[in-house]
Amino acid sequence: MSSAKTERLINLTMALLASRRFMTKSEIFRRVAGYSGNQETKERMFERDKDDLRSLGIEIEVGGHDPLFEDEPGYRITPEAYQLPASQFNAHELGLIATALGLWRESEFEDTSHSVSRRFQSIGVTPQEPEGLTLGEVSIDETGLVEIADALADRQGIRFEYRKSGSQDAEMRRVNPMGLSAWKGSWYLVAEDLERGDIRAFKLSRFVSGIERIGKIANYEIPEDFDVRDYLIMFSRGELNAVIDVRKNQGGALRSQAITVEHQDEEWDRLTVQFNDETEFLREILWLTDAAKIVEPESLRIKVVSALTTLEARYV
Amino acid sequence: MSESAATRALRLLDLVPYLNSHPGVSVAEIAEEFAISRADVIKDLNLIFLCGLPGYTPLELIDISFDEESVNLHDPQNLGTPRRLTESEALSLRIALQALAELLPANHKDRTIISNLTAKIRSIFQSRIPDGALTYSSDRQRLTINNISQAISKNKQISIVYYNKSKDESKTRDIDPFRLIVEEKRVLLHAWCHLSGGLRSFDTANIESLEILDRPRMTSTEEKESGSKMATVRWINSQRSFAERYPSIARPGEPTSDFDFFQEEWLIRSAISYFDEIEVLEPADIRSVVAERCKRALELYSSH
Repeated sequence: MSSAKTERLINLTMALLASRRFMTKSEIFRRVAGYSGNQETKERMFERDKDDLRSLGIEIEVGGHDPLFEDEPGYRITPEAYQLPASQFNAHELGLIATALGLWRESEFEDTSHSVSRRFQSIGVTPQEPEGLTLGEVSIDETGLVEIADALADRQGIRFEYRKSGSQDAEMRRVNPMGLSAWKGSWYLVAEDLERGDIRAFKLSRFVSGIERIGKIANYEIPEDFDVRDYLIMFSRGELNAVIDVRKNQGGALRSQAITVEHQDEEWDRLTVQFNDETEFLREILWLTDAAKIVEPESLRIKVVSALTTLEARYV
Repeated sequence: MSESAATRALRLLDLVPYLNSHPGVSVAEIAEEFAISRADVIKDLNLIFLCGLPGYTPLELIDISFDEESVNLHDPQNLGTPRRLTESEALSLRIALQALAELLPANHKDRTIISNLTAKIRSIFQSRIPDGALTYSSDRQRLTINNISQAISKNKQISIVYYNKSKDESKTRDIDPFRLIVEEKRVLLHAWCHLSGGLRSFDTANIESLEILDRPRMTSTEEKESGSKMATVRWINSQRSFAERYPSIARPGEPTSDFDFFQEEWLIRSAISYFDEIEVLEPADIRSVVAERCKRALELYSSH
């Protein structure tokens, strides 16, 4: 492997970082060590080096060199765009950062986190451990999360095979990632569906293929007021109503989400409940077996009766 | 093909500020920190030695002296400060901080600090990903239960801070976990409590924090014998909300699964609630109970 290229990349970074003015290409070729060969070769070298540094996340600013000569653009790296602004974090914050990054242990973000942690620690401030905190072996990772987060950071489209809730077949989805949400241990991607033209939520555990990048980097913008919660059912208020009779002193979970509870007779109370997900709600009612009875809607009543009939036949 | 020149350049750019803040660090320590061989560290140090600012006289080169035992950076030139975070790195940090805030007890003072810190990171690193694009809601009880299961399977003692509702007080207790008992509305932990010197049941919802200790737990054979029973379920279709809900139940590519359960009531209700996903085959005597329950529930609808 050529060390020459690595050496040139470092020298270029240092030169652009040291220069207050924009450096033109001819200046770079003249002054930065490592550029040799004819003009065409040097140009090609420089274009590749520039792309390499950008792919590493190093921001190269392009600007006019001299207002009197508009022939050649110039390049520079500002210290603000390159350096970690260390002084803006105190020891307590650095401790929280180190602890938080530890959550990526044994995930695909582990190497990234280790590097970020080291850079924050290079500042020379000893991080202060958060008090009274025992996280045990908590993991926040899920298969696919890191790849999706990277695509989101790049604002680049992805495609994957997805199995919809309640369906057995998977289909290819092509989306622009907009946000990520963890809900009770499961991750959800909120993304613009490029075929259907709207924004939808996808549960990571229902991905049945790997994730492939599509389209260009920085291909779309995410509006400043974008909020994943607008697209996730668990954050929305119940939209469906049900009236259910529940035996006295039973169905505690259902009672705690009821809007009204009315005394019906010695044995029963009548509850009004709002819900979003009919499948989940049906499971909750069935869990209570003969302690709950659907009054309305009729559609839910039919489903409960049908499930119980199926069950009775199956287990007899 | 070994690593690309760009990847190596990035490591060197990170190595300089690291050396800057770790005077006298050994080659072995650097190798461990950057997960590379000692030979590669030496190669990297020799390369850094050649890099510098235009002019490239000794005054402009990165100045470094080293042997195996001690590496000393005398002049980092303009690379002494670490690299700022990329968008992807900032995003991974924001996610981790949000998760950390959620994992802290509800009244922990650091929660507000973390929320301000997350916003600060977004602004300092000029992230194009808005705050609303990331949310993290944890399920503390599920984490607790996962940790307890781990402790049980690894035969470890745990230390818990437990809130006693009736006494309205929280205490730290070292306990030997025996088993988790799933009931309709709560999950109980059956354990030997060293603080009270006896067998106790803890409601996992009231466990405020938990730490797995590096001490073996006592395994009571009596507990084991009276504990779990084996269930067999048949998977009716490829839907998996039941398997997703109870991740400890393995679902291989076979039509049935066996697993341990502790409470008949839980298994009966699961059979009914997840009627479209599972059929309980074993224990066989539970089957007639399920049928009887369903019959009673159906009577509610036929009486009118």
